[in-house]
Amino acid sequence: MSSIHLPESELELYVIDGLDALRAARVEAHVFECEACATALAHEARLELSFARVAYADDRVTREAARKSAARVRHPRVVAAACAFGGALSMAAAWLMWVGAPVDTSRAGAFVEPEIQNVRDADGVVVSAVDEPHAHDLLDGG
Amino acid sequence: MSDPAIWFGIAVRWDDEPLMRPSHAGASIALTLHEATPSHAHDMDEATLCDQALRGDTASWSALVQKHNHRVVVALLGRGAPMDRAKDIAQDAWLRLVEQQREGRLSHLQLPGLAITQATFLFLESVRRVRRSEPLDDASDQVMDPRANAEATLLTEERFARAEKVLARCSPSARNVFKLVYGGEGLDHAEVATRLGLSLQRVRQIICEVRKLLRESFEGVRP
Repeated sequence: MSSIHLPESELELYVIDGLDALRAARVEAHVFECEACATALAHEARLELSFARVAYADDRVTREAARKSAARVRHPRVVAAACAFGGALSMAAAWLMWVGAPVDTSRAGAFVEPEIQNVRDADGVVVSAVDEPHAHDLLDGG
Repeated sequence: MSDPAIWFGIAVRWDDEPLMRPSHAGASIALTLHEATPSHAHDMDEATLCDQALRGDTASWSALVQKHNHRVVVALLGRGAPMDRAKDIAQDAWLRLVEQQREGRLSHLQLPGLAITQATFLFLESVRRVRRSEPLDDASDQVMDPRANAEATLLTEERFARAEKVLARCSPSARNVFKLVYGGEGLDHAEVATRLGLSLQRVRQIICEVRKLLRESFEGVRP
């Protein structure tokens, strides 16, 4: 076993593939015979695997954010379109009710022209009518 | 395969001084170590290389192995394989991929992920074989307490959450470099440098800086 261990920076550069061929070969030759450095290298390599997972998670978060952002941009347009459609529908309904629909005068509360019932004698002369002045005087006790 | 000095220039070739390895499908594939990869393969981008490799172009396979083999080896080291085993298994993994391509069982090629997956599978298989052959008394020592396992998982998740926060606090350019290097695209440092218009030295410097921060978040700050 070699008494001189590899510096951590050298192991780090090895795992990120940042060494030239000769230095990489030296690292490999060293870890063949140095258990401590082999363990340290395995630790660096495990970190590499973890970093790949972190990068994947970060990428996923970025994609999610982009998707939500796109949804937010699309949302106001959908609302505006729905409002416009609703408004147009209301106006069309109002117009139809105002112009096209038949008037039903029998509904409660509708104005009904009073029927004038004149009382005529045998010769056909009007002797009494409900719209005559004072025709309803008796109703209020007068 | 045990001499580390000749491993830096790995390339798949089918000609001079081949090291014959039996194929699982009955055919045979020759693999040899070679420093040079045909120059036209160096000019291709990753997608083109994968496309050519899927058509059986040996130069493209060589370029892909040369480009991604180090990551496969590091992934195996991270899973506890010693250096010599990691290199052997990485080579076996590439051979399997080439075999699969030749047999028409490889529809797409996403590297280094596929090679790492293949290599990890081979490594775990070899570990299982060794464990099966161990006496029962030795194997029973390795049974873990499920509660300890759950705590370890929770601790790991906390560490990852912390690391993600640390990465989120990094500058956008540093995050970008980090994600290009460690993300799924499989870019090497030179490609990242070209894409972002940075020097290779600067890319490595950024990686080391982000790595330092993330290491601290995983392990705690060292004195």
